[in-house]
Order: sequence, then C-alpha cells, then structure tokens
Amino acid sequence: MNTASAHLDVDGSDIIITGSDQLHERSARRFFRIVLGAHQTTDGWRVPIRGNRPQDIVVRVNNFLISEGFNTTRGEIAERGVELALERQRSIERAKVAASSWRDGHSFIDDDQVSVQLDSLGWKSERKLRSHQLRNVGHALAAVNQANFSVPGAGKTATTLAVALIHSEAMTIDTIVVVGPLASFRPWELEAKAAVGSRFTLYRTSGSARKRRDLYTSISRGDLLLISYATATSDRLAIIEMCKRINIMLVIDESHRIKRFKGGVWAPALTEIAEYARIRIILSGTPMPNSALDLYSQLNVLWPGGLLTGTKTDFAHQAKESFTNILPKILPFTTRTAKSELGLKPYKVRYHTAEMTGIQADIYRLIVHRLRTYIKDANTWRDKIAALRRARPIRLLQAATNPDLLNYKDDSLVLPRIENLSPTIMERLVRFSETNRPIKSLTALDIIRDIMANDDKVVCWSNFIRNLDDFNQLVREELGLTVFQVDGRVLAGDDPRYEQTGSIVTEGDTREGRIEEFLLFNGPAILVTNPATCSESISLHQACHHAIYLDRTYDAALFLQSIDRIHRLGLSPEIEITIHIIQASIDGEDTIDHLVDSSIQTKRADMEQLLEGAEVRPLRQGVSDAEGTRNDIEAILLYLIGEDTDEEL
Amino acid sequence: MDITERIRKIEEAPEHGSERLWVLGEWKDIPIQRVRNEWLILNINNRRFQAERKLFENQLGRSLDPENNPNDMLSIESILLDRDLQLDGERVVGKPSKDFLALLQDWQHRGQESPFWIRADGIVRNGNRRLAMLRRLHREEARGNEYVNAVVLDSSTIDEIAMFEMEQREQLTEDYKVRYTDINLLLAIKDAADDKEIDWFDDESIVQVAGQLQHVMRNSNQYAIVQLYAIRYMDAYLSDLGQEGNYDKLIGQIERFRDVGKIMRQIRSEDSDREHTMLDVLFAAINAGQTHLEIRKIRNLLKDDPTAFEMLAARIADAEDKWNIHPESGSLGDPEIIDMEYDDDLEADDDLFDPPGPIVTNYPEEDVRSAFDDARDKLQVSRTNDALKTVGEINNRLNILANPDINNLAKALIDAKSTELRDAVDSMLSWFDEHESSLR
Repeated sequence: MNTASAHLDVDGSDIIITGSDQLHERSARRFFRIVLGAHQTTDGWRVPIRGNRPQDIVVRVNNFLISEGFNTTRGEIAERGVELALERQRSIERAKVAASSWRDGHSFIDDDQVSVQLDSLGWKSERKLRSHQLRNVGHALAAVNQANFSVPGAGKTATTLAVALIHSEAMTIDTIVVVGPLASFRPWELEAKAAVGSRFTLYRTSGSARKRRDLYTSISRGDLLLISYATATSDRLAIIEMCKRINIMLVIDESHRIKRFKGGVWAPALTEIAEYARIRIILSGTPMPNSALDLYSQLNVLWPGGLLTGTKTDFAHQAKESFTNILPKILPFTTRTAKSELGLKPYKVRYHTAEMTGIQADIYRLIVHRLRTYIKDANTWRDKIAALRRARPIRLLQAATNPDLLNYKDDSLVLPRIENLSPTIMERLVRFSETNRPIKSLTALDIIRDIMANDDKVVCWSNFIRNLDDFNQLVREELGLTVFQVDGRVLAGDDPRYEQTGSIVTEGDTREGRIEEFLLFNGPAILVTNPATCSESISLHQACHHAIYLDRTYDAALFLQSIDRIHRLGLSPEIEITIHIIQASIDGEDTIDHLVDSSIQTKRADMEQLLEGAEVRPLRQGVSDAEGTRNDIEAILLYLIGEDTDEEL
Repeated sequence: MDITERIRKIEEAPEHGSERLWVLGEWKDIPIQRVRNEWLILNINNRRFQAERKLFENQLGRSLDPENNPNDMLSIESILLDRDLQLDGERVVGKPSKDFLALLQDWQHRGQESPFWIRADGIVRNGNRRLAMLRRLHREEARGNEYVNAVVLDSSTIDEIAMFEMEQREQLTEDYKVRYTDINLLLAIKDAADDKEIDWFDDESIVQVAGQLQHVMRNSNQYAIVQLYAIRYMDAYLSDLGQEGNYDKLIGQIERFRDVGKIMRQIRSEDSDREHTMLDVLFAAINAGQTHLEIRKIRNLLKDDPTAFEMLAARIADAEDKWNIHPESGSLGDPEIIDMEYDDDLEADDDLFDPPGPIVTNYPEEDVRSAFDDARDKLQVSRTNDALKTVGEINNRLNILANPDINNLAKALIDAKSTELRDAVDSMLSWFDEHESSLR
C-alpha cells in the first residue's frame, strides 16, 4: 500500500507542501485550495500566508496532514513553528498542574515566604498585604497566568503589583503593561507609589500617535505603562513590537469590559497582544455581568489560542448547557476573594421618609389610578400581569422621585412623555417645576446639609438622567455647593466615539476627568450620577463616605455594585460608611419605593452571594432588570389592587 | 449589414431630444437618436442571461452566433422571452413567458417609454428584450416599430463597471424589464469584483471590495458581502468537482450558496479548526439536494450539539468514501430549467420554492440525505422534554414498520442494507435491556 507522505516547509512568505499523490485527492484539495486558498504545484501546494502568522498556517497544515494520516516531515522553520505550538500546550498543562496543586494546598511558596520576599524587595510596610492578598500572590506565581476575580474593592491592584515585583526581581519580566479604563489609571499610580515607591517608573500613554510610538520604543526595564483599551487597540502593532523587544507582564484591568462575545475590536487586539506577553493577568470583580459567554474573550487573553476555552462554538455550547461544564477548566487559573474576607467594617444604612403632598401627591395618585385602569379589563391574573408590565409601572417611580420627569421622554428607559391626562392635571403637571420641588430632593438637601457640617463629600444616585440635572441645579441654587455630574451623556475617555475624530482623548471632559476633579476638589463637593454609568470601575472611598439614593430600581445588582464605590478595601477602620435611602410616602402609607426596597432585600442574599461570594458565577443568572421580575410585578399588582378604587381625580 | 455600415448609420442617425442618465456619479443629458431596429444587434454577452446561454452552448457543443446564424438569433430571442426552455434540434425553444406578454402589452399600449442603451457599433446594452420582442413581432405579425429611440454610450468613458452600476440603478425603477436572475447577478458582481482585483481567499479583501461595490448592490455593505461569499463558495464548489467556470450547472442553486457563504464566513472567524469539516458537510448538503433552509440549519446543529455535528460529518465521510475515488465523481449534470420567470426580488425569500439540487454523478445522495435527516431528527428530539410524545412517535413508527400490508421491515431485511438494519435493531434491543428495570 502506498503510504501518504508530505513535507512541510516555509519559503519566504509562502508555506510549501510537497509529497505523494494523496496531496491532490479531494480532501486535501478542499483543505489546501478552498480553505487555505493555496496554489497547486506539480508535487503539492504553495500556501500564501495572506497577513496571517506563518506559524499559525504551519500548525494548521501540520495538524491537517497528521489527521489525514500523512507521514509528515518538516523543514527547520516549520519544525520551529510546530514545536512552539506544542510548547504552548505543554506550558498550560504545567501551569494547570502547579495551580491545581496550589489550590489543593501544596504550595511551593507560602504566605509568609511571599511576605518576607516582598519586604526584602522594598514593599512598603504601610501597604502590607492582607492574608487574602498574599494567598492570591502565591496563586499567581503558581498559575503563571492568573484570572483574579476577587470582589470589587479586594485590593487586586496591590496584589498584582506584588506579583509584578516578584517577577521583575526574578527577571521573568522587564516591564508591566496595564490596559484598563482611564478611571483605573489614578488608582494604579497611587497604589504603586504607596506600595513600592519609585521601584516602578509609571507612564500614562497619551498624546499623538508619534509620541505614543516613541514611548513604546523607549520603555525599558522597571517601567509600568498604563494604556486605555482604545489606545491599546489602535497601537496594537507597536505594542506587539515592544513585547518582542522586552519581557512584558500584561495586566487587563476590569477585564469584563472586553467581554463582547461577537464583534468588537478590543478583545481581538488584546488577544493578539497577549500572545506576545510573558505573563498575563486579568482582573475583574464582576467577570460575567451577563452570562458565561462574557468569559470567552477574557480567557483568550489569559491563554490565547483557545487553549482554555476551545473554539468559540464549543465554548458557547458549554456555556449554554451548563456553566459547571466550564468551571473545572478555568478554576485552576482563577482566584476569588469574597467580600467577607476583606474585614471591612459594615456600612450603615439610614432610611429617610419623604411625605408627598400637594401636586406631587395628586400626580402619584393619578398614576396609580391609570395603572389600575390598565389592569381592570384584564380577566386573568396572567393577563393582569401582562397588562401591568405594558403599562410601565416605572411611572410610579418617576412620580415619587420627581413628577416633572413625566413631562419629558426618557431615552435610556425608553419612556415617552406622558400624555392623555385630564387637561387640568396636565396643566398642573406641566407647571410642576415652576412652583414645586420634589420632596425627595428636598429631603436629600437636608441630609447633605448635615453631612457638609463635617466638610465632607457625598455621592448622590438617581436612575433618571433628567432628575440628575434638576438635582444638580437645586444643590447649586439652594446650598451653593460645587457639583460634579456624570451620566451616560458624558463619554468615557476610552469611548470609541472619541476615535472618530482621529485622536484618542485621555484628558478633558470625560467621566474619568470629572470623577478625578470631584475626588481632588479641595472642600465639600457633590457627585451626582446614575448607577448605569458609575456603578463599576471607579473608587470613591478615599474621599467620599456618604451615598444618597434619590431613587432605586429593581436592579439589585446595580444598587449593590454602586455601594462598593465607597465601601472597599483601603478604608481606615475609624471611617464609617453611610448609605442614605430616601423613600417617598403618601398619607403616611408606603409607595413604590417601599416595594422596591422589599424586592431588593429579598434579592439581596442571592445577589450578595453572586457579587461578593467566593464562587465565580454569571451575574445575570435569574436577576431582574430595572423594571422587575414577575414577582416584583405581582407585588405591584397587589399594591394597586389594595388601593381605594373609588377615588377619582 | 457589416459593422462599419452599422456604425456609420448610427452615427448619422437624427437626434430626437435627450435622455437624462445618472452616469459616473452625476446626471448627464445624452442625445437620443432615432435608429432602425435592424441596425441593432442583440448582445450575446448580456450578463442577464449568461448562465442560460452557456448551458445551451454546452448542450449544442458550440457558441451561439446570432449575427451570422439565423437559428441562433431565434435561440437568443427565446432565451430572452420564453420560459420552460429546451433544445429542439439546433434551436432553443420555449413558451412565451408572462413577462414577455406583459412587455408586449405595455409596448402596444404606451409605445417606447425609454430609449435603448447601445454602443456605437449597435450592440444593445439595455433593451435586448424589447429588441427581441420587436423582432419576433415583426417576424410573426409583420409589425413592430422600424425606428426606435436609442442613446449611444461611449465605451471609452463608460466602462463595464460604470455600465453595471447604471443598470443596477435603473433596475430599481423600470418596469417590465427582465431582472438579473440570481446566477447572472452573481456573475455580473463577480466580473465587477475581479475588476477590483479581489483576492477571493482573503477575507479582508472580500470585505474591502464589498465596500467598493456596495453602491451597485442595494447600497448595503452586508448584502454585498453575502453576494461575494456566495460567489466564492460557488466557485469553490465547481472547482471541487473539476467544473471551474461552468456556472450554467448552478442555475437555481444560488440561494444555497448564499447560505453556504454565510455559514463559512462565520466559521472562518469563529471556529477555524472546523472550517474543513464544515465545508465537507455543506458541499455534501448541496450534493444531496438539501434545501437552502435545511443548509441554514446546519450551523445551528453545530452550535446546539457539536458532537452530533461531528457524527454527521463522519457519516457523510463514510458515505462519500467510494464516491471520492470514483473516476467520474466530478461530473455535474445539466440543471432542469423549470421556469425562467424569477421573482423581482434579487434575494429569494425564505419561503420560495427551492429548485432541486445539482445533479452530481454517482453521488451517494440517499445515504447522505439520510445522515442529514437523522441529525435533524436527533436535534429536534433533544429539544423536547415530552417523553410521552417521544415514546408515542417511536410506537407509531414501529407499528407502521411491522404492518403486514406494507411490510417494510421484511423488505428491508433482505435488501442491501440488512446488516445496518440489524445493527440498528440490536442497538434498540440493547437500549431496552439497559433501561428495562426503570421502565417497569
């Protein structure tokens, strides 16, 4: 029997395959001609690499030939490419064994040894790592490439700096490259200075393309480079060149932000850069904001080439079937510190009641009446639920928070301006803001007055953008305080929309810029913002210890994440964090705010387990959106049915 | 009348107003000339019937030459005006199409609405069906306008790409005009893409050319990409069977290739390790006459159950084993042209009738189709949680199998597949043994 044989080699920018006649049979013909677009030669095929990396084509061809039973030999360059791929596979296996062994308690380096080593390398005593952080450093050293999914505020930045210091001393790496949101730059700078002083020289990547290119070529041993996702994407090739020149530890901060399973430009660029990094670390407290699919891009940065995930199709299938299928593969490389391990002093929650009166109370009653009308004609319970959902009970939240919101459409919540009210009520509603102030806003002013007596900073949260505007103006007018406002209309500095102008913005009027101004402002100041924009990626705890919630939606995850902005590792023990929740009442009775609170309390245990527990799980598994689950809608329905239906307005 | 005389007569033809045309990105007023229709030549290279022309040329074993062969002139007329085309001796014949009758009625009612587009030598670039209709009318009923309005489009300033763009724009607005049939549209797009020096094996090049050509393809980049990938895999399919360039063999198949192109593009970017296997499965689907909707679902099969997909690929490979080494396995039969009247919409709707698949010599169609049926059935069953329904269906099938009036089981046990049948029955019995305790 004629044995199929093939020889694989590289010739300039082409891959050359020569061998027996079987290379021209249908299967090989399909692979070379149709899949790879190769040109047929008398004794085989010539594959142009077409912008691909030669070693990728070599490995692909090699795998094909072997799977088809070809007796395959390779030229020197091809051999190197195949060997490299095999080494990558061996490397992950070795790391997996070491990391699994570490997780089983067989560590080659214990916490004390890590601590002693850090001390000897100049780690500052005032930033002494906590036990959970030392444990995570040990894990990072065992796993080589680490996914640190510890809860927000667990001190991941300090942990990563410690890992970098040890690697740097061992000459495993020369330089640290941190890719993250612009908001993360300042915490990195502060933490690096506090932990290792001038051991690392920090650079922010900014300025013109030429200036950035110069920076990449000048980066050398002992430097720490901060780059935004957008800049890293646009400077991909220059960064890769830098990675080829020196040994890089690549850190992707808030890695869930590159999560897009389909499309997007950040993840492919960072995956490509990651291939050239010596050590890779991804950091996120909420690695799966939506589903397990969010992990795909992040894990491919951690171990590029699908070594951890397999193909996209397989990963999607496993994620869909059961997250527990994925977990065992990623667990050895993952670490997570629960919030309970941080030893934080619990925050204090203070409820404030704001009694609605006058026009605001009338309008609230009217909205209740309208919703009751919607459900009146529905016969079955299910129909009533459906009718109520269509009627948008979030209108009640608007009325309780600020009736003037009903006069305007809300794009983010897809709510049109309210219409079809009786002419008298419409007129009163339209003129509400001329003579009235929302009672919850006035209550918030009283709270702020008390806090400001101590010359402090406060963050005020509302889910309605127009209410942020109104409240901003009210605080300025009534209290004369400096107010910083951040909402979805203020672009993040690394928003791709900035790139449409051809330049990458790192300063100026961005979310990060405004937050930094707020934090650095000398004296009392107010940050007015919404959870959709600021519930993650920012740290306010060093300067701000009070949060006021003008309103809350049914999205418990957003609420709990927003609290983490001021309640995180690094707080002095004597500092007390206070969360002020304002709830409207009417005639001394509960309103929608109380229903929302009750719902959040119910979901809290589950949500805290997801957000703050030791287990890595998708966040949105069974979690409601802003307008509530079926249980929430049922609770509203009961609330409406219990109202006095005879009342007419 | 030779070409020199035609050129002279057209050049000297009197002007009769002007026609406003969108040419190369701007409106231009081009003089209308009154020309006799006998000075005009049907455009044998008209891309709107390229595939059909090639099909009949292959069957005739020669090129059609309407200028010198009266029979060929009638053949071209028939290709342009008729449906249910077939070869009758040396001529293509068919029955008058609805489009032709509508065109005739409109001409008789309203006369000539817009001028023909012709080149200086009288070759018609736009108006071939109208010219064919006038010729047929003149021949059969001794009537038909002797003079028609025409604008001469200079080939030195309006090249083929510009002409294609003009045709595409005009097609959006003009009634009673024969549309590009799917295959001919793709061939016209292919010409335009080749002119842009596309590299069909480079995804970036395809996307780039799609951007350059989208203005002639509904102004939609996505639509342009779909067409280009359809062309890429249509070419690949023909090449796989050693039938390079024989596009006539794929008349009626284009919707299948659009789906193949969409799936392959996705696989190339998301799951390149499976690209080869997916190509095998998709080409097998075409060979086995799977409809384009069935082909579309193959991607879902991979997404929902990668193992089932791999099993399907293995079954297909087994079934194709002998075919792959058969000396005539590359032959493709001529398609049956059932009806030349195509929908106005260039992209077929999902619920359109799918023509039969291509005729591939010696292809193990039945085995491959059965592999697809089994895979689909398995997927469908895996999605139902209703055990009672599933068992009920099994029961029904077994009862029918054993029905003495039909006697399928007895027949199958003595034919060529008895071994596979016995294996399947054994597997079923093993299942009962394994689950017996839990069933009782």
